[in-house]
Amino acid sequence: MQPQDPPSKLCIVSLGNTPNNAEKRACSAVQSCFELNCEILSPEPTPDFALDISRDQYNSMEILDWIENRFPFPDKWILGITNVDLAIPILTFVFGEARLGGRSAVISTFRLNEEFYGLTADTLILMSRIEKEAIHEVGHMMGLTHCLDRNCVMYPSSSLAQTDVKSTKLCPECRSSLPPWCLTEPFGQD
Amino acid sequence: MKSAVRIMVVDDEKIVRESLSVWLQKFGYEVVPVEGGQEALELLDSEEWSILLVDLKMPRVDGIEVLRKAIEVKPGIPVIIFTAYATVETAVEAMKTGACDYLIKPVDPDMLTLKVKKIVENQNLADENVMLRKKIDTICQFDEIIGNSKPIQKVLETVSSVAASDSAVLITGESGTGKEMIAQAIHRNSERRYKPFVAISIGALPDTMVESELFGHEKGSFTGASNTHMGRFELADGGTLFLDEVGEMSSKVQVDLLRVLEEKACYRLGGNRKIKTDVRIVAATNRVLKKSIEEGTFREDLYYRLNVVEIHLPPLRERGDDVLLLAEYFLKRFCMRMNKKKEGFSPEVKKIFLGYKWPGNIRELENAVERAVVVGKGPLVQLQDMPFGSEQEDPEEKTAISLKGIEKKHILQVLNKTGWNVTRSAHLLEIDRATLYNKINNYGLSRPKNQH
Repeated sequence: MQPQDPPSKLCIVSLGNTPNNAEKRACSAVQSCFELNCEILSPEPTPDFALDISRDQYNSMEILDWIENRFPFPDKWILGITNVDLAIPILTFVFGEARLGGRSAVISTFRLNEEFYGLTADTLILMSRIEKEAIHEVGHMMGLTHCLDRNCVMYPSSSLAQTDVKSTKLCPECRSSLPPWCLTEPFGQD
Repeated sequence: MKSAVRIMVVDDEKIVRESLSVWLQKFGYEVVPVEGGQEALELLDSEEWSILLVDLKMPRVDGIEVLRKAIEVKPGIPVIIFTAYATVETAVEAMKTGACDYLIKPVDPDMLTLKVKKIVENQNLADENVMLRKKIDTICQFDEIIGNSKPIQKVLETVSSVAASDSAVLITGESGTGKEMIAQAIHRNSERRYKPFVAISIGALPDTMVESELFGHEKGSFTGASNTHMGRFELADGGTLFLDEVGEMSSKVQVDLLRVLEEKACYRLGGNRKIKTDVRIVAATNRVLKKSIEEGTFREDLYYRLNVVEIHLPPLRERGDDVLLLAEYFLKRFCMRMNKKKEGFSPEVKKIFLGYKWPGNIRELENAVERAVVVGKGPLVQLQDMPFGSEQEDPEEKTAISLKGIEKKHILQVLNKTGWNVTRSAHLLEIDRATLYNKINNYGLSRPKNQH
């Protein structure tokens, strides 16, 4: 399910109060892996429309629908970064969500933060996790599915341990599955 | 995670089935969202599915009904039931009906990933198992046993009739006649073919190790036993144990083996846990065990335990033209292995093959052909490529030649080389002339007519 045409740009937009520099870090991380022009858009408010009151969580699918309506530019891909807790109805939470081969994705910093687990905040760790999740979701937009290689950024993360173990690189097999227009040389940064 | 895994997600709530489908698609699975139980039942029969993820509460046809029908139509299909309204009763009902899991919505993503992954891995293993079993079945019955001669055909008939039974078989025959091949053929054509075939050559092991190898040992049971070790009886569980060179067993091992065969259980050395053994015994020997019994070196009761059916393998010299078929088979095999081209054997080589007594039997033939492929040049294997040498002599005579015979031949060769110059010949042979004259007389050697 690869995208047909390259986007003119990947636009990164914060939804609500996201950590300082999160968009910039996500932008440079994505550019280290993929040949994409990146632009940081003006922040948008917290996506309250997607709040599921019974769970006190935000439906990531609804946020993707909203992103596509709010930015109706077929040649632009949008990556949202939010600080709210994301979930889909069947799962207790998701770190992020993307349309496979589509033009919208969203990641949440809510569970990437050490404070969520009762630990002391650590900006370095948080930024590293944001970078990995951003690359991972953009990888899905590129049509990549999950990878079995634990070091590959496309390895599925259902826990932070998995996120922390994997690198910001794509494994050779995932790189070879990418459309040729989005490859950077050499392999992405560690 | 690319795979041919097809998952059906059945839920009447669009947002649930679609979000789950999208989530699973990212693992590379092919996912089909289905909006209700009725639709699921219709699709169930017409297509192949790896896993069904079914919501419990749905209008008209609920999850339990889908599960029941799925198991009826496709026994063994993994069905995961999930629900937001979990009760002990529904969980018990689902599991009793045959669900492979029961999950409560919302599900922890890590848990769902693991469950689906585990099912996929199990299915891959099951598929691999089926594929390997098919492969075992396609290994032709007696493909590797080559020969059209009456004696070998008679052996194969016996193998064919005895394979299906569980009786112990004693294979006798000279060394190198292919006793292990026959044992494997018995195993491959038996009901035990999907289980292990374990071979042990008792003659190759010192007495002290035979018991440990056969029955295993516990850690620390003797000096050097640093780990627990499974015996061949345990390793062959459900399969066939091939005991080669049983005639070499010490009387102590014979007693122990007899006990295991009678009790169908053994103890590891140093262990006190009885280990049940379900193995078919195929034994082999190149000795005449009846003679060993008479001499008191082999137990008669063990002999009758091992020899329910006896298969005697004929030596190669009694197998007529089989030697040529075998030679061709080995030639092809070695040519392929060494990447060489040989069309066949020269008529002289074939003649030698048929006349030679092959004391080492098939093993000797195999080695001879391998040597010929290594050293030979040209499309045909020639006499000089064979270990019998380039002289057109009877190889049997050569192998049976006496020391005197060799001396006579050598003296004659030297004399012929020097044109029967006795002085030069004596010099080359490093003996004096008188001794050479004596030997010429003793051996009755005479100068060929054309050298006078």
